Amino acid sequence: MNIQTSDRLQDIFRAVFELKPDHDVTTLDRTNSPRWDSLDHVSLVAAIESEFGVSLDAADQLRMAGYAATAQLLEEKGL
Amino acid sequence: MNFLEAHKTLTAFGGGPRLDFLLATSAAVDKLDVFLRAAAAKKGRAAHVRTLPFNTLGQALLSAATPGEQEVIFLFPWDFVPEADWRSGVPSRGADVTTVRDRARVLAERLRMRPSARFFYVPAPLPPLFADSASNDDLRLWLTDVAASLGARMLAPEVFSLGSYLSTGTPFAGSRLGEIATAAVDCVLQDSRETAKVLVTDLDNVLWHGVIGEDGIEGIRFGSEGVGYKHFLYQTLLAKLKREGTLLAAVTRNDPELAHAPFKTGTMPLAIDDFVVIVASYKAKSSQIKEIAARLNLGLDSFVFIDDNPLEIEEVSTALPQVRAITFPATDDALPQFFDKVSRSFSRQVLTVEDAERTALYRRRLEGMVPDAAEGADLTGFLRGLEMSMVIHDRSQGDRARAVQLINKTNQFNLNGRRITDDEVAAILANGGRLYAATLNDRTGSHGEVLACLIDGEGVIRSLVMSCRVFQRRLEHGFLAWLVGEDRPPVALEFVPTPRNEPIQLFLDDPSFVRGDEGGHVGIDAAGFASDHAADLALFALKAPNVLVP
Repeated sequence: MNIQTSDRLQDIFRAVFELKPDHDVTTLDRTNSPRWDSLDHVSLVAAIESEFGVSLDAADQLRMAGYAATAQLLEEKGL
Repeated sequence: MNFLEAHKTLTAFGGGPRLDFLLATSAAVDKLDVFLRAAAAKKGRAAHVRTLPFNTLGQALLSAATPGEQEVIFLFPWDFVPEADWRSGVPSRGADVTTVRDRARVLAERLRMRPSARFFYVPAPLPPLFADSASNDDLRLWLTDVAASLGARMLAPEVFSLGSYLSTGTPFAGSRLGEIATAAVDCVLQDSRETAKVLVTDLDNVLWHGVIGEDGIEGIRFGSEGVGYKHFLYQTLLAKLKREGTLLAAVTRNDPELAHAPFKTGTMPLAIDDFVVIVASYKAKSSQIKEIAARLNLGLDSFVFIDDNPLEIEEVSTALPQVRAITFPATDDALPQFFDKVSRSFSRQVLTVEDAERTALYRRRLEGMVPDAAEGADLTGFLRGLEMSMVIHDRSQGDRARAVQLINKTNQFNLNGRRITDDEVAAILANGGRLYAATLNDRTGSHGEVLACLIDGEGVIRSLVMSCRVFQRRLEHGFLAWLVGEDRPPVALEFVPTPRNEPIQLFLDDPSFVRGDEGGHVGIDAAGFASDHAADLALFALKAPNVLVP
């Protein structure tokens, strides 16, 4: 994943979880983020699909357990 | 509009007037929320969108619409045919074609009962319902026809995502959410506006490919080939809209001579006479549009502006939020969607002779405009010099389409702003009412049927409207002076002030009108009005149902 894509993905995480612009989201995952509920997860999926023009099916969505896992998933999709 | 753009738009949005509407669909639409609010924010509006709980559209349609609430309804094949809902699986027993279609017709009729609702249809693929694939194909096409018969706007099949529908209940592809939200918001905003009247187009890289000031006549392209093809098609669209009554105007940051040069080649689909005015100057486009609005005496909310430059679109949208600004597409593939958007802004139910001749009528108006400084004796002298004639038509019988259209589209010189259907007019006429129209001619030619007056059987003027093209001609005074001298003079006018009918409010300041009657009626001192305005009537050679031209 190139730096531009990584920056956009981090911006998406900050926007969806309403975090400050300098918040480090690269270590974020569902276990350490109390507000990452199922509704936010749906928002995160929609945001990523919209921003990168990809389709994330149920199996993909299950794999999105954190920032790192999501970045890995997108890399596998060629981003 | 992708997600980060939507988020950025919302972060920067400082608020605006509320835009309330119901977004109804059988599916989950939570994912659309941020995009809907951003699409509205881009138009300066704060969206407040009501949605339905998941899978309750059918129940919601059993109740009447909430009065005053605009409805946008997204429909899918399974709304008409529940067996086709992917989330329920493929039915184990084959469906009966007749039963399926009968049930779909029932829903269609229910939707038809909501005349103010606007529909979008997503022609998503169907699971196999019937033993033979031909019947499945037939049903898919038939459902599209049913949706089209409701006036639904068709979305591309690709906006449907089965993966998203199965995992979250939202049937829209994530990559299309911005597009869908924008379409919904545009639909609501468009429906809250009246049909536009003036299309103001940029010239360089819009009416033709290239920049006339740099590329010259030889370098620009507007023919039906290569890079000019898109612009050729655009000109043919404008020619069609002009035939249907849209006024074309152009604005350009160029010298007038340069701006006119391509028209003089005589090889473009559009000629210079197809435009009511071309403003070529180095002022901001918003200033140029304001100048056109002032010269045509038309409100800015009846204007559509088209430009290829996002900065120009932004400048006009910011300075003149009433104007509908549409970006000319960068690619040929985006042309159909652009054409659809432009055409819908100028959509008309009925076309009249005046529609086809409107450009000529307005060009005459500009030629015969009363000088700004003219008043008193100067004004009377100017008006006499126009050699005006007024032809009054009794439209109580026969063709009244133009008169009814005039009542329903006039805002400024309009007695009460009320819209009226042809059936309502027919009912008033059947109860002893009368409908008059007046045509104005002058030395420059005919201005067409520009005044309409509907009087009920009790002698109350229910509608009185006059085109803003002919303000300052004293036509309204002349017409009423004639009317009060007839056998059955009107006794009152059903006046209601509106935010836009100041011209008729000024007219009603005349001392012959008596305000304050019960029911909001304004009384008329017929003899007083006839006496005070005999000179106005004398400005016109009169041809009325019982009067011959002198």
